[in-house]
Amino acid sequence: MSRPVVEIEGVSKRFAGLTAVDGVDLGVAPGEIRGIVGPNGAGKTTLFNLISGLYPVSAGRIRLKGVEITGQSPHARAAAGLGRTYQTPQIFPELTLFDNVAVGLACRRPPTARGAVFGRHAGWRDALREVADVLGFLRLPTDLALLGGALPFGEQKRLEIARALVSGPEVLLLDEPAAGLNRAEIEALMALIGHIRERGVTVCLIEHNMRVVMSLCDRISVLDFGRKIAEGSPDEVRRDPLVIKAYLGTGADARL
Amino acid sequence: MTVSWFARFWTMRAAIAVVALAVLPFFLRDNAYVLFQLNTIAVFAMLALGLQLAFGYGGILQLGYAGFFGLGAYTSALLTTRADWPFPAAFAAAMLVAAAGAVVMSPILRLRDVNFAMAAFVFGLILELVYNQWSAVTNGPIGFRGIPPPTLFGVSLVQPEHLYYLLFVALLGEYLLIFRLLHSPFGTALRAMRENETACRTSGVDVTRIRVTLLLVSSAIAGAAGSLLAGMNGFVSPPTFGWSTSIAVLMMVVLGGVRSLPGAIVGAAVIRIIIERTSVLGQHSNIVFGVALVLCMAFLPEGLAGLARRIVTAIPWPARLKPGTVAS
Repeated sequence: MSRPVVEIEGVSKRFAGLTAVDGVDLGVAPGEIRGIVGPNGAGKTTLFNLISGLYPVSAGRIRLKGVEITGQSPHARAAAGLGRTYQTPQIFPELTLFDNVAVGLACRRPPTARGAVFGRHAGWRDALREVADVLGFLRLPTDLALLGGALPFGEQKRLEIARALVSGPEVLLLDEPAAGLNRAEIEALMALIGHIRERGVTVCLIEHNMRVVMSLCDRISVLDFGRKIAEGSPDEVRRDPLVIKAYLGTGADARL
Repeated sequence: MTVSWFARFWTMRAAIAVVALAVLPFFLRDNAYVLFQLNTIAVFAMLALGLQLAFGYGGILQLGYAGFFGLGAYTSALLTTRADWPFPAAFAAAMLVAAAGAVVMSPILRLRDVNFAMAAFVFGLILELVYNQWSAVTNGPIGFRGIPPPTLFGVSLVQPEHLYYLLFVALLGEYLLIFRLLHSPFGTALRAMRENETACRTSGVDVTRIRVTLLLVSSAIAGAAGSLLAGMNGFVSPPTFGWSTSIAVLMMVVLGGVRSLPGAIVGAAVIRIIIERTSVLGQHSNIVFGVALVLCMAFLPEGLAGLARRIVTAIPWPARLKPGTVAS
């Protein structure tokens, strides 16, 4: 097996009096779809925030493509090939769809004042095409004047994915992509995540919808009270007694 | 975004405003007083535009802004009186010194919101203290007198109408600079940063770099305005660069309308006129000033720019003339 594209070693995060993530080890192989599941408050989103650099780790190391990124700023990690979305879509409601997505280009073309004043926006046409491509790929409206905030919830979630994809990430962290979506939208989302993988992007997703997790993920890591309590293929995880006890509760295995 | 920044700028409205301001002195030939007031407004409009960039668009509540105005004014005054530098060189130096001051101030950009505002306010107070106390360089409370008028290409700009054109060009240049900044990928990142900083950072935008850039650019602008003020008035003294000026410039931005460039200019004009008209009242002028501002805030929360927008949308324009249809 090739070297993991995301390597997490003994990562902990302590907030005052609370250990949200406790010595988690995780290795995600290139091209994998990794599910991260666990009850509410298990530390899943905190783990994403640690990987994307929004919080500093209390202990441990994080590597991306073999390069340590533990101390790097979020924008540097994004430039290194890490994209992410949020539980509730974090879009720019008063920016046009185009601008919403174009912000993601900052990774490869850092916007500077000097460039703005003296530059001729070299590559602007390329950028325009890239943004249009990604909007099309996510089946979002290509009306360039439309504001992000005017989109319905499901499309806002896709807009966020579009912003992450336009930067050409190698790893995409999706925080509850199916939450709040209807059945048809979930079907479309699952197909979309498959297409994203086909583009060579490694996907990590936090998800409560077990149907999505079980049918989409190659491997699943289970967190509980900040610790990783199980890991393996969907079949292995659903039979793991610790998982059933800690996460699903008695009798819930029948539902899987 | 597909329309070039200049096409966006150069609309009928902009053309009318630029031409009107360009021909204005011809109607004021013999009215040196009004021209002098207009020139003062122009200097403050430069400040208001600079603060609009930092605060209105960037969310950086720079309450020490007048200190940087002073850095430019004192730099220019020193270099033109004691070192006999030509005006353009002193002007450039004023911008550089103000920008250097911003570099010194930049570490406090780590603070946010009220904390930043307080630290910036104190930074401005320290600068004011320096102007008052460092007599060897600044002449203390007396300040500088006899600063030579700006000289360009060997022509000394003494007449108010000559100064008017110098200030007009400076203001227009600044306006175009900021307009272009805002209609570029930098501007997109800037607006995104204001709406959702976290999403910006994880999308690859270096927020710190943008904030530092805004502080530097807005400070350099204040330095330029200070240099022009020194050349125009022929004297500088500390009270001009104190906290009350910072507050006045903030009021210009807020009254004109946050995130409106024309609003900043109109706000500067209105506030300057109020200050000028109430100056006969001495200390009591602040009461009039205060009441006027409270009324504005109560009835014009979006400033004059918001009022203008409301009026424009209320007019039943014929389809052909409908404003805002070409812009985007």
